[in-house]
Amino acid sequence: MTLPPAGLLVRRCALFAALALCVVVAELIGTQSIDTGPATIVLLPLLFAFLAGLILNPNVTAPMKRVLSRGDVRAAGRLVAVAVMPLMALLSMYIGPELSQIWRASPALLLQEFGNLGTMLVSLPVAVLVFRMRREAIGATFSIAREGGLAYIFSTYGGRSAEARGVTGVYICGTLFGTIFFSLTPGLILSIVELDIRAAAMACGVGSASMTAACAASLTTLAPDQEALIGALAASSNLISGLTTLFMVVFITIPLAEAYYARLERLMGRAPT
Amino acid sequence: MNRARPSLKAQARRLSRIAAALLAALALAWLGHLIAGAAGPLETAGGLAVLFGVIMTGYAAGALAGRLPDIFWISMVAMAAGLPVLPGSEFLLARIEPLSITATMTPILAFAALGITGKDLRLFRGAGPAFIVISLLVFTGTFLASLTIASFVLFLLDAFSA
Repeated sequence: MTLPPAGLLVRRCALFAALALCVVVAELIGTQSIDTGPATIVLLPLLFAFLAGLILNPNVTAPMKRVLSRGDVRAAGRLVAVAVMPLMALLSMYIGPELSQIWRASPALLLQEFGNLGTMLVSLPVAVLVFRMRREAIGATFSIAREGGLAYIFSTYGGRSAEARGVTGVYICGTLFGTIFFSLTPGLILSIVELDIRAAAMACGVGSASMTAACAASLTTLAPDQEALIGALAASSNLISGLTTLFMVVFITIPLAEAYYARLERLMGRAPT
Repeated sequence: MNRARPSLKAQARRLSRIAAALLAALALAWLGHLIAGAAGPLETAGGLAVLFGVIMTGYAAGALAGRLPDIFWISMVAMAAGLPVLPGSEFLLARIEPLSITATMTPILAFAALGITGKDLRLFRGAGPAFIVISLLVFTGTFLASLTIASFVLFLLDAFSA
């Protein structure tokens, strides 16, 4: 990973000022709850930080081009990988003390990885039958499409293939609103359905650090006294996802997706490409 | 990753740049914690200092041992740091206790939003609205499917161990 040369802090002071502004505004707004009868939608400060960042982004708001350069934007993008580490370290540190709880729940932790397979089983038909996608559907629905998945599709089908277009599409959506989505949905689902919060914490491990963390954060607003356990389970689940997803994708998900896709295409009366 | 091992000097340079970036990210988290009222300035700084140590140790381990992604090394070091059997873990865990997941999360999204490039936006517009729906379906589906399985298994575990 190439980083800007030393003197980073001086060169990027406009960027850091913008970042600080986003954080300050977001925390001043704080956590907002919207009560919609059966469900409660919790808006975490991270959402407002994202919105503030969007507004300050020169690619979104042209006048900002005078304050932030393209180099600043590129630096911010590259630094996300570093910015996410404090949270990953924090969550992983919670694992040690909670090891006995994790051990107790380990069958659930391991079996829920197959949930990642379920995604494809439901989303692929929708992509093909409803949206009439062709092979893009395979790339778009096989997994949550983060860097690992992206790399796999590109190397298996080629960078200019329909599958690559599919995975890139979902990847971009994930980049733009994946984290935000995971900061809203788990809390929402759990406010409607009363389920074991440990199960929800495990389900947070989707293979993307920031999505997992946002998910865990949204759950801790529901059960603040269990913050450490939620964090520990989410972090473990994410780690396991990272380790097992590639195997599952190569040996189960993609072969299954290919066969499934062929059947769906025949159902549509089309010869599968 | 298959690449020639960079020189020690290059590694050190890379680590020092990462350290600078990390300090900036932690400073933002410190600011966020203060405004959120999550904890006092000293407690937050103490916790974040521990995270700095853990993370840089992880990066260093990755630089020396290589082959696996940084996040793996950092997670391993962090897990080890919190293990009750290892000495010092109580001290470290006590230091991070005042930190909040939510407040530590906030700066990440600021980086992410400010890092969105023109190319990202063009790709997004090119992909079309279908992808938005499919993405939401994929994200929801993956969470719900895992949630269902985990709930079910936990229920069985509790029922049989009670």
